[in-house]
Amino acid sequence: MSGVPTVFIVDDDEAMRDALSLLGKAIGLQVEAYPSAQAFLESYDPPRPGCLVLDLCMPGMSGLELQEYLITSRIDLPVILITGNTNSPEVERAVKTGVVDVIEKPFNVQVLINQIRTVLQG
Amino acid sequence: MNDSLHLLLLDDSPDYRLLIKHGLRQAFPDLQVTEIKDAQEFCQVLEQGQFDLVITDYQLRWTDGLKILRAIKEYYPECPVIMFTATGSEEVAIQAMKAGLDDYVIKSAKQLIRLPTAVRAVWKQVQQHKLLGATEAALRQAYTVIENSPVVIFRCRAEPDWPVEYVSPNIARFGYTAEDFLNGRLSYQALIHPADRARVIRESEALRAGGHDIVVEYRLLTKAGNICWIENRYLTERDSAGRITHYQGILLDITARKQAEEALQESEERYRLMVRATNDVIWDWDLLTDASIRSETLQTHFGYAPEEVGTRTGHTYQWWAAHIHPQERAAVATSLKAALTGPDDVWSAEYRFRKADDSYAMVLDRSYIIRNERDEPVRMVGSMLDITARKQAEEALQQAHVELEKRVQERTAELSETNRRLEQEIAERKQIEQALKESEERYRHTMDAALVGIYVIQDFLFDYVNPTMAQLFGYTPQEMIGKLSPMETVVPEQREQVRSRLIERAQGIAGTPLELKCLRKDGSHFDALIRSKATIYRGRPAIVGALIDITERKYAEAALAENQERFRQLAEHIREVFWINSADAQQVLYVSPAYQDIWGRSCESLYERPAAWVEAVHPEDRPRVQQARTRMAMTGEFEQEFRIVRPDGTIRWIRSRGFPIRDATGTIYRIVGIAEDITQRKEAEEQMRQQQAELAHMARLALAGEMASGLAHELNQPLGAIATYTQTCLLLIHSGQIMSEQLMETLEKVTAQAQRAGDIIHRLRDLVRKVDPHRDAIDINALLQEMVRLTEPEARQREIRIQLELVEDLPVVFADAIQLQQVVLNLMRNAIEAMTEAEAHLHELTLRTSPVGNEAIEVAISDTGPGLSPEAMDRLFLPFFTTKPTGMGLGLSISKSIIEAHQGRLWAASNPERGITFHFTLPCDLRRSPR
Repeated sequence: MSGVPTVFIVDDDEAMRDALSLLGKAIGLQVEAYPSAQAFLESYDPPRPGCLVLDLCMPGMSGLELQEYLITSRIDLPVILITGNTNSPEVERAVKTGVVDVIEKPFNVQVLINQIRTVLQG
Repeated sequence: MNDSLHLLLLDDSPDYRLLIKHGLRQAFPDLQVTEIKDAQEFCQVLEQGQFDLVITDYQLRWTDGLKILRAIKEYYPECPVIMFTATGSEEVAIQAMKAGLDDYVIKSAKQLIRLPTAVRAVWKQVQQHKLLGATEAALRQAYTVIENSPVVIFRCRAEPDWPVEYVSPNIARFGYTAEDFLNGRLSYQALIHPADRARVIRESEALRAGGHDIVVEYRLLTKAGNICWIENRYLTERDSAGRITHYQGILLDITARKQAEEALQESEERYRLMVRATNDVIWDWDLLTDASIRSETLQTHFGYAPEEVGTRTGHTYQWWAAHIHPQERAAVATSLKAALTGPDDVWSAEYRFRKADDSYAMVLDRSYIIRNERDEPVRMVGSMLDITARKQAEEALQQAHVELEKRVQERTAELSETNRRLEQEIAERKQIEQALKESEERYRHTMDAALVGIYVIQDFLFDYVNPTMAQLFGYTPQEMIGKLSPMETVVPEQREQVRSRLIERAQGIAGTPLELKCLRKDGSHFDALIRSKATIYRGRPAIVGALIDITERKYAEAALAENQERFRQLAEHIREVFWINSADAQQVLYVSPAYQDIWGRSCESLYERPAAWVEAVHPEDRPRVQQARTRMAMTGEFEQEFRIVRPDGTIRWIRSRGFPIRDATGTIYRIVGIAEDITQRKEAEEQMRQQQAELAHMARLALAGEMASGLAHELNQPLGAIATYTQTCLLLIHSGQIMSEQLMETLEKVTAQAQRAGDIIHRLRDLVRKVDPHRDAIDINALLQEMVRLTEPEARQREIRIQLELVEDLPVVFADAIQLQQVVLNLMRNAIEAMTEAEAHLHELTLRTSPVGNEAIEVAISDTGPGLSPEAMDRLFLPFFTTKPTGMGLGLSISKSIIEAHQGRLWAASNPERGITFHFTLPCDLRRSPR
């Protein structure tokens, strides 16, 4: 299974997690969803291919912190950040660290689908 | 008088000897003179006798006139001595007269003319004596009787000054010679004490109108200047027309009686009041309850048991008054009432008092009135003395004198018989005097035991001092009596004062109490208060006085004066106003000079118009202050903060406090207080209040902004989910993959999320635009210190110690001061609250600053509270997360967003031991960093 790219969804909000999983499956992708950064890191074995759809604002390790961890751990997993507020200073920092995109909630699913497809194909 | 006269002349001056001889030879042609020039000559002459008369100067090279006089009189008592001197003093003259000097002539050219007259007078007397001596023994016998009797007989013409035609020779008992009067040098009136003279003349005038005789008592001046009491019976002689031509006076020396009366009175009084003699009935009457206590002697003297009298309340006066003789009752009651309402502290009365056996005793009732501080009589302490026996003795004495007089009138018939009887009378009187002496003895014991010094002065020497007096001066009584002059017992600068006072007393002038600096035997000093009065002691004028050591009082006075001075200095130099009000708060008794500075009005204006104080109070505060003053008039307490309006219109804040001062009975008699100018404190308080209000306002603004941001995040979750769900459904419908069941399920999820969004919107309130931070250069250490100052009271109250560990010389940060204060305050409050909830423990709140390289400053705020679980630590900065029951859960998230807005970071970490430390960093120079 390690060859099939997976969309890893990390979001503390259950509804959001569920909606994103439904979306991923609807477009025929393999989806795994986690309620926190810790839960994700515990089950993830690098270097499984795929991409991370990450909520920026979470209790415990935030999306940004997870992204920074992945960089320092040299895990090459593209990250798409979802946030409620693109004006926050954290978004600025996230962009600097090299996330693929930051998408502001609520978003047009087509934008997300395109980004995921681009990342997985690239 | 043609016998040859042999004169002994003692004068060192040859010129005067010549003048005297010359002057006398003219009057006495047969004069023989022996001049004495030294002691040897004098001794020879004294042995030989052979002289009739002596004239001596006072000051002689080899001796003095007094010694000469005494020597002559010792050998030849009959030989007259005349002192002719310019150097003697009045005192010398008096002493000489007492020693028997016959005349005293002041030495001067003028007075030289008088000398023959004086010589003639004394010579004539000698002649008369000689006449009597040999041939007329019987007549002499008669004279002796008269001279030895206390009766002196005068015959005066009824003309102004009453020139004397005859006076019995025993006038000598008063120091005069008959010659003094017969040659017209002295009139009779001159003998009468000036104070009594007018009265005696007035009373004798009554004889003009008719009547045969009168009896007058008065004081007579002896030649030596002493005072004798005289009872004088005047008889009149009339011519055929009934006009008075002569007065006859029969003089009886009653000094001894008067003295006895006075001494008795005094001794009884002192005895009574200084020692509770067992012989008196002592009573103690409480005027407020009308109850009293009486000594056991009530039983022995008057036959009443002390307990049957007036120990009951409201009974004393009635009982007492009922026992006074009806004839005297009203008068005694009136005098008691007058004493109680008057200024005196002493009341006394003599009245008849009914004994249990219904007989009456003559009672001398004397008492002290004790008054309270308002001068109202509250108590009387006194004694009732049964003086029936004394009265009888006095009456007997009186009777004796009456008897005596009768017999004197029969003198021509039986002089010898009279004399015998007189002697008998005298013997009787001596008995009375003996009784008096005993009374005096008792009195003396009392005086000896007295706590005050008591003394008698005579001839400028102490004649008596009690042991206390001697002890005060460090002498034994023996060392003082007869040896020390009062002048020697005071400091040199007061000696003249004491001398003139003694002379005044001797002249009968009354004086006021005098404070003296006394000199002890060992040369040390002490302060004393003396009171003295003239009296007669052993038949001669004397001064009796009492002396109290007032050193303690003086110390107290000095200490008081010092205290007052210290108070004055304090009151006049403190910045606060010190004030003293009357108990009714109507009067300002004192206000310190600071009043002028603070109120801008003069102290005098306040004394004149106490209402000015209230008028100066700001109109808005006045009703409240007025009420407080009304309460103060009742309780003496006052504490108010209020504004005053100064004359220039400026306003000052005053804090005034008053306290009651009570007297011994607990009554408030003064209110004292302090008023201080608290304008600066009030302004500072106001400023701080404004600052806090501003902070709170900012906090509210930031809170609202944070709420909006927090709510936006919350809202985004369901909205994001809805959008995703619906778009996914559309996607599936378009591709035809969806089944109605899955669609229904997803749509239900959409509905649930829409519901959730609605709930969040319900919580949305008061959206306020988030303000952009305003940036200034800030000294972070100063900011922390200011916040510590703000929170310190609260921390102290909760027994939390705040420690500052600040690195100095940190670079400034550019930040919004108010927002930073808000963050620090929030972190400190959290820490304080966390520690307050924790168990009793030494709690510390520590603030540290440290540089982070060159770019940033780190602030750490540590508490020693219970700390948080790892889960709680994770959620700490999320909006709406709180561990506090009343918290909003926004403080930390706001703080975090503020610090992040300043390009800094805020985080928390558990301490190794206990509690949590919050850290935040701030970049040093934000102006250069891109936003």
